[in-house]
Amino acid sequence: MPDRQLTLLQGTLDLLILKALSAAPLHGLGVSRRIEQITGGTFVVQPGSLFPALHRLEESGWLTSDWQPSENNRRAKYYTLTRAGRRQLGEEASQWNQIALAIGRALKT
Amino acid sequence: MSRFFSFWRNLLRRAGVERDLDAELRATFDLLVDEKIRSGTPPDEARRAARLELGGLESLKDQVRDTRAGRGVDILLQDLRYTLRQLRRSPAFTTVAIITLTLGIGANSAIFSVVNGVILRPLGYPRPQQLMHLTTRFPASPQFWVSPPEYFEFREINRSFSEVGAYSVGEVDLNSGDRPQRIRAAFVDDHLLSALGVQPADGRLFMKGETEVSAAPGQPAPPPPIAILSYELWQTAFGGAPIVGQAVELNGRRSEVVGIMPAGTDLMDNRTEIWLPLGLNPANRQIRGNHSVYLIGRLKEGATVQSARTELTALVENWGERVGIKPGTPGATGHVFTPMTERDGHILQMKPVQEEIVGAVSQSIWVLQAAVGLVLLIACANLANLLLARAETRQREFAVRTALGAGRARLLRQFTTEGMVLSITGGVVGLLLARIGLQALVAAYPASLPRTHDVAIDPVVLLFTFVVSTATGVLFGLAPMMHTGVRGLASALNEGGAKGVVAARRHLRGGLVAMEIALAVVLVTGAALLVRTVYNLMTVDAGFDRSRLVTFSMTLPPINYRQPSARAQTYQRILEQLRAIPGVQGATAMSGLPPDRPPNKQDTDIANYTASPEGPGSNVDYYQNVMSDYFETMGIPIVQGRSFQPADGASSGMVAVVNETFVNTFWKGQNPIGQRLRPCCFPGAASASDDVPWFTVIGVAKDVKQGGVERQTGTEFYQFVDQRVNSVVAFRAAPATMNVVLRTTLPPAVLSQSIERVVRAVDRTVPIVRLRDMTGVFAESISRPRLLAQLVGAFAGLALLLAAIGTYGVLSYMVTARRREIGIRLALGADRARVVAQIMKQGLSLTAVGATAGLAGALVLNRLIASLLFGVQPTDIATLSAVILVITLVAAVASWLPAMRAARLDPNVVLKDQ
Repeated sequence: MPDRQLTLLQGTLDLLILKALSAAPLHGLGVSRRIEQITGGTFVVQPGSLFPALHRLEESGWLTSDWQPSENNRRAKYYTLTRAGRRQLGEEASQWNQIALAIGRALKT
Repeated sequence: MSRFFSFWRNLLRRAGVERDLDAELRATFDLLVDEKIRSGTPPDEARRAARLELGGLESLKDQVRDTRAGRGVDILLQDLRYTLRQLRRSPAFTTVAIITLTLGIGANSAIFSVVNGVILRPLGYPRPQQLMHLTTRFPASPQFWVSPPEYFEFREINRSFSEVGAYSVGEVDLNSGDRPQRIRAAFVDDHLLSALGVQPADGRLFMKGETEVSAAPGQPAPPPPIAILSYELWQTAFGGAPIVGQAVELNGRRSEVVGIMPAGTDLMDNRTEIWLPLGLNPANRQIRGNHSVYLIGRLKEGATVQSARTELTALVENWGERVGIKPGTPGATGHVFTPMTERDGHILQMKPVQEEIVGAVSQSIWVLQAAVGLVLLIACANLANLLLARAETRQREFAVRTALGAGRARLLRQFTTEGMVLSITGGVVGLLLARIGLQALVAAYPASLPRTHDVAIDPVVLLFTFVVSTATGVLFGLAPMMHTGVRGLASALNEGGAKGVVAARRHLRGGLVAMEIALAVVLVTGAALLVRTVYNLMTVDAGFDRSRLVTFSMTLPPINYRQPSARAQTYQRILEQLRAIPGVQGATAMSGLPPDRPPNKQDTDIANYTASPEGPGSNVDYYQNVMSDYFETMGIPIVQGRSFQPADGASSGMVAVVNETFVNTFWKGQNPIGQRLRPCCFPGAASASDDVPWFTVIGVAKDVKQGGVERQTGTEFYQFVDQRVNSVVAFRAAPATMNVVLRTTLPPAVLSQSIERVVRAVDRTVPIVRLRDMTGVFAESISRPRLLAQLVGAFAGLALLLAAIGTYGVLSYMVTARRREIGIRLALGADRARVVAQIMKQGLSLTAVGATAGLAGALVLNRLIASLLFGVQPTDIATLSAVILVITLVAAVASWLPAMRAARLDPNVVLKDQ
């Protein structure tokens, strides 16, 4: 995968993960499904991107994780948005909106 | 959780982190399977699909690991572990590599410690760059002492220095405890101590005016009985017990210890043990010809070496006018500075103190550093070659790693890590080696290097070693990459796909070996020239028979032996008893021990010789005071006339012997026998030569080396002590310190007890100093060139060995690689001798290329050491031929071994092998 596309995706992916977790804690697969759902199936996040991103966000202090029983009584690692993560979500969202607005405006002319 | 915290957790709790990751991914897999089963997929199918969707569990883990904090350290640790495993797997390679590096880096660190301690590190005085050493110059003596009046005048009229002081160095006998010992002394005035800016560790230094004497000229006036001990002497001789204010016995005289110098304080590398008052008489402005001190000045703030030199030149222009003495006035007051011309002149000159101390030896030290640098280069080339060979056998390993996803950068890191692990190990062990080597060096040659006190492995040396190790590791570690490239590696998986790469690499390896040989030739040539130099120095005709001579020095302190005749009689008595020892054939004593002693440069009236501006001045280089049997015991041939006889001692007409150079200088074409001469303006004389009797020449002795075996012999004037003590009162004298010489078949160790018994029976307070045989005296006089030759020789030997190993390595590798081809040729009936010849030809042609390049290099580089050579030219054909012969022989042996292995190959075995 060429690097440029990766970095673009990475920024987006972080935002999407934070957003997906803003409602409730989820495990990895749950995050993936939630993103699929909220983007209307536009983004299907591959595990090879998802798990590194989750771990990176956790190391940055935006997520915490703990083991909890899952819906069908298995144990799974659940990720929860931290206070800093929520702040980060707000920042990234407004940044994204600005970019989207600017790009949209640029494409309209 | 912060990134910083994660970093440490990832490094320290790796197992936990890994377990967690594994559990998380497994749980995800199970969840995925559940999800698929729920949506109606059969279980088996669901598992397959889930595995597909999740991808390889291991590569997924790796992707997660890559994002973790501390991943760089992680990779490094992984590389390290991998490297260590690799190195353990090939212990032979690892051992050879580490030994090579240890020797290479260790030698470099050791020599750099010397460069650092001796040349680079500033002296231990405050603002040492302000300190200047002042000496005088005569046409025949590029560096000479300053006379006290010259010193006083300079101190008064100069404007560049804030302080100028005077000193001389010598030895005194210290009588402390049961065993007297001779110690090294610095005689200084208070101005000198304040110029140096030293502070006492205890007590005080000499106070203003305290080091001076005031007496009528000609009257003996000993300086005040005070002394400052060096810290080291205080520790060794007095155990560090409180001593300030107490008296010690120096040359039989009780002197009060007023202070202790700080540890490591020295003066002009004299290895000073005691500091004593110089005892100049400031009223003495007349005896200008008695040059006896050196000066050290501290430049004023703002003055530079340049500005001070300019002032010196200006002062010398009209010195006489400035100090009120008409130049050219004959007699005692005639010595006034005048600008140098070819044949005449006498000037004051200066040099920074550090340059003066290090001066002559710095070239030798840099030569050594260059030599070890070359050795390290050869070692690098050798290791690069070894690694190249290894890289070839590791082709598949690299290719597999590339196929598994290791990038070019990762492989580069791997190579660098391998190089660094080896070189850092070599560096660490090398430092230990350097430490041991330095200690051995200083112990073996305590006086051959200046400032040995400052030679140590300090942070600068550590930094140097680290930088050298790193650079070395990168340099040879990356060698395998030079021709490999990851593309070549990938194709190495399918065998035979990298023929071009292999050929190119063979050239590279041949080139490296040729370079090693070239560097080795340069080093061996240099070493051979230096060894020839030492041989020439050792075999110089010193003018006397140096075999079977044992010598020692002793002092009869004038305080206990006031009359010169008392001293002479005591010496005579000692000599008689020594002659009676069984195994001793003869004994004598003299003031200055050949072949290396300081010159006297004594102004002398020489009848039938008039000094002209074109010819040499009326000045004799060496005065030698000898006891009876001198020429006979030393084995110095008398070429004309006769030597001193016992009867001369009582005769009233003073007799003299001069050397051949004296005759050739002053009385060329005349019969020297019966000519007359007399000392002029000798120390302590009231006026000119009026009180001094004329000496009549009775004999001419063969030239004896005086200022070192490598120097031209100077003019020499022998006086007979037995007669001088009976001459007119003003000229009665006998040296207090004499060198006794015995002609004997016994070694010094055997004689020492008998000698001690004889001397102690006469005076038990007198120490016997420097008891050794004459061979030892000669060895010491050339210890510096010998040290240089030995070290460069050792480095050259190492270079030769490495180059031989390199040649051998490349050829054996070639033989292994071409086993099949050689096997087929042998099977087809090829002559074994031709196989040998062919392989040896390869080795010898590499040698020819290397040797040619090396010779060219040697001719250029050896000119740089021309000034260190004696009796041999840098382009000496015999030496160069010998070096080529040696190199060829070594290369022949190194090539013959693999060639023989090739010839012994059994075609049956080889061909079945493949």
